[in-house]
Amino acid sequence: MQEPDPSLHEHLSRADLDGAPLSEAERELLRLVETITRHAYRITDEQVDALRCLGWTDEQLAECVYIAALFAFFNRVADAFGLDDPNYFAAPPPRGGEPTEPEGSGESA
Amino acid sequence: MARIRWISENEARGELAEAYASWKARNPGRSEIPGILKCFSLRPDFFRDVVGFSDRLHFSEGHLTRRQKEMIATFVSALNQCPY
Repeated sequence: MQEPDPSLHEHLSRADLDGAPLSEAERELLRLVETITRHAYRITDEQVDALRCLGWTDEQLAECVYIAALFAFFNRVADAFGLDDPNYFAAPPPRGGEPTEPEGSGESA
Repeated sequence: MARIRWISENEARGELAEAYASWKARNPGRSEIPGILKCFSLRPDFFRDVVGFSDRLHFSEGHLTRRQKEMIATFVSALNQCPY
């Protein structure tokens, strides 16, 4: 798998979108991914239009939705089956509660 | 072994054995079937579908680059607190 640059991977592995070294267009695309992943029903026409203004084509937006949904599918299957952590993440995301804030306030309850 | 039964490579027979063999043929660098894929082993037909569409959709350049798709995958997994 092609690895994005390490610090980007580090930030994204902690769900730290604002701290990640990203272009505005990619950051906003990942904000759509966050909305899809957390509460897809909250996606608005404005959010999608803004992404078009940032240069994303509908083909790219559609594929982004498929990939985001595909990995939610894999995540759920992996967790349901209880797969143990294969150490893809340098710092695995914390379990339980929301992902911690970028400053890493330690294990959340 | 996972929490729900899956079929290991040496237990696999028939359609599943073929599906495992063809995955390994297409992924020469990998020595074993990834756990996530073995989760589909109780439905070999669905195993093939999952391998098929994830190869075509994710493991290939498309409208988005491979790098962008990896970013999405990493970020979603972190949001879902799923290390796998």
